[in-house]
Amino acid sequence: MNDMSRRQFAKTFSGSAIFLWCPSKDIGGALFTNEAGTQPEEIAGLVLTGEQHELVRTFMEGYNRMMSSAREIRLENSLPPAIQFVSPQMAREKK
Amino acid sequence: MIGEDVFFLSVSEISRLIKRKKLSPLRLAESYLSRIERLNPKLHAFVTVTEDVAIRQAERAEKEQQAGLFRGPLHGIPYAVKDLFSFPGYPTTWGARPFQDQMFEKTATVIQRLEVAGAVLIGKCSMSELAGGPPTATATGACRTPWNLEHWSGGSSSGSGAAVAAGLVPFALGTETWGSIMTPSSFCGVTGLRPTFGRISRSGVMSLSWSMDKVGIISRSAADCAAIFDILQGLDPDDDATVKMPFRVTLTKARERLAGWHVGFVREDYSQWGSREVEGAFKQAAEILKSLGAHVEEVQLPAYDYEAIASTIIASEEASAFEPLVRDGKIDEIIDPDRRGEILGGQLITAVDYLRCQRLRKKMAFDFKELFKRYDLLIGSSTLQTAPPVSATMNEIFPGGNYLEAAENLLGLPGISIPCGFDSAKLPIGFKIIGRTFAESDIIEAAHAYQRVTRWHEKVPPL
Repeated sequence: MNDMSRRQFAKTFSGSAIFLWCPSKDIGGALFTNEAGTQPEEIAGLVLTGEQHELVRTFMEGYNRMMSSAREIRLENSLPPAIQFVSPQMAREKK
Repeated sequence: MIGEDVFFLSVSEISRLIKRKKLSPLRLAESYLSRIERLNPKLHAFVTVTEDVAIRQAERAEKEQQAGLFRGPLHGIPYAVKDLFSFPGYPTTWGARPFQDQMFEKTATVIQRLEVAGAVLIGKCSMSELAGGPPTATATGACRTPWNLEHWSGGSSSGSGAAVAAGLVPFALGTETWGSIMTPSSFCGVTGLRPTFGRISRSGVMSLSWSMDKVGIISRSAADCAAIFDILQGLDPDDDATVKMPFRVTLTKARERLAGWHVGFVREDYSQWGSREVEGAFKQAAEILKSLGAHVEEVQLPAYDYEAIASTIIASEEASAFEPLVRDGKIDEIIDPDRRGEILGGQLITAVDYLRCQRLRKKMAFDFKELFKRYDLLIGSSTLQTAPPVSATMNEIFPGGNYLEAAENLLGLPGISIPCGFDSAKLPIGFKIIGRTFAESDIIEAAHAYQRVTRWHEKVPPL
């Protein structure tokens, strides 16, 4: 696998006319019009060209489809994220 | 000039010749430079040849050699780096058109360490743009595997794999976020070590995904990887993720240690996702491990949507890492439209989704900890197919399967890819050995034991 070629993305991002962007995890699958799809871009402070908007739309459609099952998994409230940008050793070293 | 056979010697063999004053580091460097000049136009493995640096470092190595000073196993050994390691005075292009003139003042920590060890920097290798994309998504032309110049060397450490395989350099550095060392090692028939996350400093290295990027080594054998890893690994104040852990590899006891280890092999659906010839070579490799005394049995990976989790984490982190491209409009210079869509679309992934994936990753780590109570090592095919034509699309190259690859990268597990055969088109096949976190010595010893009884890693391409 090539790092940023993610097969799942490539596989699912083939063009489609329907934009399934959902700004919240609770409304997965909601159908938005093309125009409504520009709102998240605006919220993110992006001003996109028509071609860029189309690329984003294709990406988000596949992404949303891909994430739909992952969003169904119930996670215990106490389960923390696995992000560790600083190793414990390095944290001690820097004190 | 030196004989052709020297270009395919291992690091330890070249090192022995230098130590005994039977090989001049300067003549060695000049010979590699001339070989690169001759073969690189066919391969596209190098984007920059650092000739002045190479000659200067080789002259120093030679003077010290004559004075009886030997810095260690990399004294006078030429090497190359993927073009995302910064080095002053030369461009660091990240394989992408917007960064063709990018220069850094800082020397990447790993290059500093190799200089202290006496190694000789020969040049910078081609790569997929911003470390991802199909064969043609690179600013310098698709890099070819030396086994068939119509076929891709793999990505994203494309040139690092091709350069080692073609005997243009005895070893090269690459990086892996998701398959970028394993893939070129497999497609080029060389040995690639991807260490545990945090083992080797990434200071001075392009960031794609802070929580998944790793620096690794591509060379001609597991033993070479061990010698180079020993020099590169360890704490670096310039990379907060680094750790210092013991690394004691005992190659002479490798076979003894492998005997008795429990090895889980991951079954793939080769008929759907890969090649039957790759499957056959992998099964033979598993049989060889068995014949060396390992207990090999099929293992089921814990059930996760590994690809969705890895994709979302990488897309979120790269969207941040490359946000300036979006803000200044240079995103349009990225060749691969899917990649443009990912970086642009990644700006819109919610924090909730990103954190969900990071929490699933934590859960996954608990499950794998349990798995590694039953198994010392996991094995699988490095890639499910051999090197594809340079015109292939990503869907054709990676249609699916190999979920272990997403898992091992999400969990930061160490892995080594080693050659295990050829298909009927004479393209190399690789398999990988995955270990527990910080168990580089285990995977290197297992790979070394395998390479002691096989000869796939010694094969030379028909250039």
